[in-house]
Amino acid sequence: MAETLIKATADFNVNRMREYSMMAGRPMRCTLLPDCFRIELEMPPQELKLGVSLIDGVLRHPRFEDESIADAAARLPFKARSYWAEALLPWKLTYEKITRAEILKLYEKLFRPENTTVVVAGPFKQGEGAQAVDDVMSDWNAPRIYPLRYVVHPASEVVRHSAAVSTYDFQGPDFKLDDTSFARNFLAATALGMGKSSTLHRIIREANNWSYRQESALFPTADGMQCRLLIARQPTAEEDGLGEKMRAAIAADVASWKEGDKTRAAALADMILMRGIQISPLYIGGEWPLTDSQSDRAFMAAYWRMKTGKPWNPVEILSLVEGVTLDDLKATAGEIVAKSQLHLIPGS
Amino acid sequence: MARAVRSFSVRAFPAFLLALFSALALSQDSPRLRTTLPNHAVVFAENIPGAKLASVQLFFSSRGTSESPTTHGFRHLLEHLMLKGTKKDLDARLEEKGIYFVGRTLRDFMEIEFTCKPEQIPEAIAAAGELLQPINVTQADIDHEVLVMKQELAIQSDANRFSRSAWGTAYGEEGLEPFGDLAVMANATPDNLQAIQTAMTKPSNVVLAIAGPLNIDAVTKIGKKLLGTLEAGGDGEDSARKEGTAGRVELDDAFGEGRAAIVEGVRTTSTMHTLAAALALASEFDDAFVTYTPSVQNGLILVGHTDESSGIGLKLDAMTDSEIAALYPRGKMLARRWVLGQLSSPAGDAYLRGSLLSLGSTMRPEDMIEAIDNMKWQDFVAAMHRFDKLKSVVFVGVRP
Repeated sequence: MAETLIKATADFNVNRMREYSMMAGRPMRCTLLPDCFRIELEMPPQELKLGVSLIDGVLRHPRFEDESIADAAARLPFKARSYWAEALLPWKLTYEKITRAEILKLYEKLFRPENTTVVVAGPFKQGEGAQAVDDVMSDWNAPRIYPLRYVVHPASEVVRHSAAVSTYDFQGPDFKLDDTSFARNFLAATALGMGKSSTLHRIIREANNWSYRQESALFPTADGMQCRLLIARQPTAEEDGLGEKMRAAIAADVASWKEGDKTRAAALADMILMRGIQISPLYIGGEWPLTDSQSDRAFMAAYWRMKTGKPWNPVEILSLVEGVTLDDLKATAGEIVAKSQLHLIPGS
Repeated sequence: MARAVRSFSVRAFPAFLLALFSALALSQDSPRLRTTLPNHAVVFAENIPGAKLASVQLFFSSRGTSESPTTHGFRHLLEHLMLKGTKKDLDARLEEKGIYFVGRTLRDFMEIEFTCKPEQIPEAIAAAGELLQPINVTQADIDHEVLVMKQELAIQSDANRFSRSAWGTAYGEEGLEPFGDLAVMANATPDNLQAIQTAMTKPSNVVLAIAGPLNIDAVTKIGKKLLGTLEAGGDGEDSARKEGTAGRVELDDAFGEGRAAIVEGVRTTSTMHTLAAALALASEFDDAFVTYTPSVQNGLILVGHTDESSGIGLKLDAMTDSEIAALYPRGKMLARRWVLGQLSSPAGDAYLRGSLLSLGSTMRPEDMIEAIDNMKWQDFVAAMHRFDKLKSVVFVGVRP
């Protein structure tokens, strides 16, 4: 559905959709994330009305043409992903048995006004974007639907990367997104995996030569988030035992953290939350962490409201981050490491 | 312990639709100042009011230290070791204050980028100064770092692998990619690296570029004080890179395909036209990449994708001149956006302006925009034909 939703609408065929959505140089994108669909459209500022029409069409009147569905079903199984994308979303999905009728049923269930947030960002006067959307979409009432009976087939997982890269993914326990949990986990993720003085860089890379790329990721789950520690390295014959060696080394380092480690993490957290520095543990958008781009900032504004019911407020979050004690930080990071499930995908 | 398979569950997925109305206009003629010191080092400062960050970037031109078969990778190895600082704790000291830094080694220059709050610019410049000090490394340090770089090589992206091979095909030993050869690096000695650093830090090879909300005169003064201490010396020269050769390369350790157009240096207007053509072509595909680093030397512009193994070549070979011409407005827009997009942030601005200065070039980003603006549709069509299979390097990845 993510691939075919944005191809054509009742008002715009495939060619028109592409032509109009490319006006700012980048086609409309629909990304399926663990907890939402993210649909992005960039337009020149003077094309506000056209942009809203395109949005309206995608949300309310997508065509789901047979040709687009068949094309997507044929291409997707062969579409390669990077090892990092495979590690973050290790599902191998199958598309043979998907019908247009099933896609439509799913669309009707999910694409409803009460499930949807539209964000307009750009050089507008306050309220101008909202008014433009309201002018077109205020009459959106989705018909009542009956409960969807769905046979769920468990997705198979990627068992081996096609690239000669192995990934170790320590998936910490889920946590709810109340303010204090998020602040503790954000600081822990930063201390564990952001920057050259983080635990992952110092211990996994520098001290043990176990990898070159290693990061922490706050990743969405259905009900909240989890902290994941991701490590990419050359495949080795000792893969099975290596993961637990890594866990032990990370845990030992966490236990040794001093006030300086907390200070460093808090200083980087400030730069991430308030200044949009180029590193971030917020892997909410897909294969890459969120950036300070207009698009990602707009997305975060809507996403956080969906997840928590509150506006995204980095100032408030930073204040909570700065209030985390060293003991709390060590306890949170220690729990992430101790309770994480290791998911190893060996390389070819 | 391995994780159990989790079922895929259907629930009401919210949808977010972002409508972005982007105005990529340059800020109104922000003041900037380029100062060439008596020893030929360059300090560049640009005030970008309202930016949340400042970027301090140190460039070392590769003039006199270009990659050769016997030193292939020494610069990259040096970058890894330099970044640790003289006391091997530079990262800890800086990150404690929220200053983040990274290094990159490219063919024509090495770049170290410090990202900081505007009020921390003097500290970042001081940290850059630490990197100008002679490194103090042992053979054990080198051996250790080569092991880290072995991991780095193993996880290189498919796009990087294509670039490496395309350059090798087009330019042979004159196009050695800056990552390096691990076997050669394993033979590096502390003296080898110190010699490279000495040559690299000759003031005529050094540019300090700073951008952000700053006082141009104050920042320039600090930069001048730092770089003014560098002793002028024999300036390195490099011979001109030969003309590139078309060809085809097939890789079994990568997946994807594309083409690399052979181009002249960035001062040649047709190079910017080729960039426009590459960006327009890439926009026809969902996840295509364009790789280009401005250089005064002959080079390559790559366009490819790594999610499918065909498509770009087929499209190029099938397009008529009128179909190419139909992409001209988009190519022009995307190329302008490519330049202006970089100038819209302190990091991008310091990078683009600093890298051009490090090439010894009088070229400015504004000259690149002018070349794009003056491009006619006929120029664009001619540029697109530089990706024809007999004129370019065709690269294909067949990893299963």
